[in-house]
Amino acid sequence: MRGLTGAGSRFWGVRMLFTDRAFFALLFCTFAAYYLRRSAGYQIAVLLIASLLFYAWSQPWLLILLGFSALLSTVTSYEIEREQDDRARRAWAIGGVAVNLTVLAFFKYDRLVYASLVGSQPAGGFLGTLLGVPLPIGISFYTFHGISLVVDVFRARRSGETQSPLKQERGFLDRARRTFFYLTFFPQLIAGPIVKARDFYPQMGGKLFADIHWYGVAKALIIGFFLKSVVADNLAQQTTVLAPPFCYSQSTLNLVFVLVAYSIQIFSDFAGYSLIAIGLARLFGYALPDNFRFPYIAQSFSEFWTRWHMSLSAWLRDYVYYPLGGNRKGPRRTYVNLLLVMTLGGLWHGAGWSYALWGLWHGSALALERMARGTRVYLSEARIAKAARWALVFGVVTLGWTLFKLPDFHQVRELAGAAWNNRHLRFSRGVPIMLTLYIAPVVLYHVLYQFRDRPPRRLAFLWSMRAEGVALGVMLTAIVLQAGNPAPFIYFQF
Amino acid sequence: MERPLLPVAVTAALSFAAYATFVQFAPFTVKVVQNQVDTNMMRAQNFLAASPDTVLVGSSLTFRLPTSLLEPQVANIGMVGGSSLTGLAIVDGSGQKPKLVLIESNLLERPLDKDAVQAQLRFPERFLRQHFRVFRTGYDPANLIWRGLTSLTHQTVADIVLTPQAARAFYLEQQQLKAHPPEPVNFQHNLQQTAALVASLEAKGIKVGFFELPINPGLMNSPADTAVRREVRRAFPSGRYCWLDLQIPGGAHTLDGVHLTLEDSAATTRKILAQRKNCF
Repeated sequence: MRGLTGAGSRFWGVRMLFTDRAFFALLFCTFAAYYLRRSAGYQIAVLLIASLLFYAWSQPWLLILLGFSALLSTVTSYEIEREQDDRARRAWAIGGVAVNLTVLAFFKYDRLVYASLVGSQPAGGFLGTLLGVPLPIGISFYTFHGISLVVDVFRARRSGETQSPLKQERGFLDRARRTFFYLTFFPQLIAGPIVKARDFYPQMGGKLFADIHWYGVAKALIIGFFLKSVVADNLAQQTTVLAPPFCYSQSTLNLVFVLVAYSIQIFSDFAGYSLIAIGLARLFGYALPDNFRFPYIAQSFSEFWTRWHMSLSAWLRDYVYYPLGGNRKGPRRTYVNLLLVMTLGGLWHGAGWSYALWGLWHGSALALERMARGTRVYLSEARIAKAARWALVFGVVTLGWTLFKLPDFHQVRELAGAAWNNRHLRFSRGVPIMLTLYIAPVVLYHVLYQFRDRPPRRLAFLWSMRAEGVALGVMLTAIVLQAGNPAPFIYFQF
Repeated sequence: MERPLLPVAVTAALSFAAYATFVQFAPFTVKVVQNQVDTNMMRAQNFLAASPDTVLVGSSLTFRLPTSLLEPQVANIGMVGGSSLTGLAIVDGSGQKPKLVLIESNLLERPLDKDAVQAQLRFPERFLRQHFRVFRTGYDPANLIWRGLTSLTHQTVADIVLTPQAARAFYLEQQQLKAHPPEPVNFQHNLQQTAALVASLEAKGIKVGFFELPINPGLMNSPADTAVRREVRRAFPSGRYCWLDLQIPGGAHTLDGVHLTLEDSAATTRKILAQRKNCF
């Protein structure tokens, strides 16, 4: 009966979505201009202009902060490379990381800190204005890219690499151009995947039209748009009932069903976005890292995190977990590190204690799992044990999503209350049937992957190239016929 | 084209053509769709495809007025979560010439949804929808499956069932929302937009009228509703515009404070049908 609420009023949003006409026009023009010349300098300039246009489409002043962040990363990484003195290099690196984090903290966590320490936000005055400054979209991603650049250059210099992959530039201006490009490359600018500097810089070079792997591009884009437009956008209409007061009228079984649907929705939304980003980058000759590898087949929490938002997991592992000592300093320290890293990862997703709790939820699961590693249940290869482990992981992960869907603790409590109190309400069949319609393709997607190495003999044809082509064709038709009401990607708000 | 892309293209073309042909010649129409957003779109598309002599524009309050009683003479493009302005802009931009447009005044503080208007009116979508059912919301696969399921299970349109806890929570939420008058700058802007659209319709020879749907008596005189009523009546006085009187003696029965029960919706719809003649 009510309208959907937006991703949040606190965001300076990008109006150009991957599903917009304006985006397709920009993509077409950029693509046409890009392959006119093979020169790396020219092609980077084309992508840089397109990326800035994409980002600044509705809010040109967003470029000020993005420009500052890119300039900061350029200067600090350049100085680290140039500097001969170890201590000075370290100082530049610490400074670069600290300023990047300060920018992120100022824009993202100011209200949370203020509300936690003082109370509700002042309505006016300097402080009120300061705290009212909206969060520029994509800041969490480009800040992490900036940190990755600074740390990678510092590590390369410290390990004495004479031919650092980053060290191809001819002077400061060239470094600046490449850094701006690295931070702003439009497929990954708003919501990743987070690509490490050491993986991205070596790819910068002249690209040929003839080298485009069209099937790979088509596959990533079709699956990506299918997951986003057909699955996630349609499920988004149905999962609004998880929020109070809608949940008060849902039976317990219906709520469980919708919660599972939300689990599928958030996967489809973000994995869809990531695949679109990967497909678009491929169109211009760049390989972005995989971000999702069938996470819902995971039978352990550690496996889940090697399959879910892999680029963030790898970033946190390389730049936070390992520097903290990882698992090299004994079990207790390992547990603490896991809790700390996952809580920080949770907070990275959003400036709210519910996100921190979500991180802690996963950190605790990882720590408990580590404790149980040697037990029979954990090691058993019996089907029933595997199924139980899968159900446990899926259940815990799905329950955790309530903290994403309802970042207000009060609402989570209300939902839990409704799920408990409404046991007597009659199960309504209509909505679950429609949910199943959208969930089924995602389940099938995971199942096909699970059995790829040992397919049932009679169904082996399903794993053939031709069957994949037919499936992609059907998905393409579904994108035309069944796209839901376009909604911003959930991860845009992070 | 690389060889592996061929099955993709062929399958897409064949499956689309087969589905499009099926729905184009299917011997049924789709009236109930899977969710309220789709219903919003379907109603707007139905209006664009038909030639009703009266159009109701409004929010979810109008949305609940049963189309079974209104159609075919009266189209209902009340938008769930939306404003009368959105429906009004669709009518204005459509090129259709109904005799009368009736505007719900209750929630005119809500803004115009330009994206929704564009989605209905822009080329080539509108052209395609006009000629091919496959591009209409009601005929997408999920809605067709939904229609099939409701036919198979002989499900009739039932009213939304709210538990007492939900009804109370919705009511309290409404009470909170209506505790303050609407933000004046945005509200005045909406009124100006409404006036411009009304003038545009009148210039095309279309009559314009207004109605306020009854809600829970406890909320009718809330600061928000009082302010909206006063300003809308001032901007569109009853001497100049036709106003329907839809108040229910003894107070309206609602699900949640603002949305009428099926019985009161039906009674109100009958009043609209009777009174609209006075506006011609």
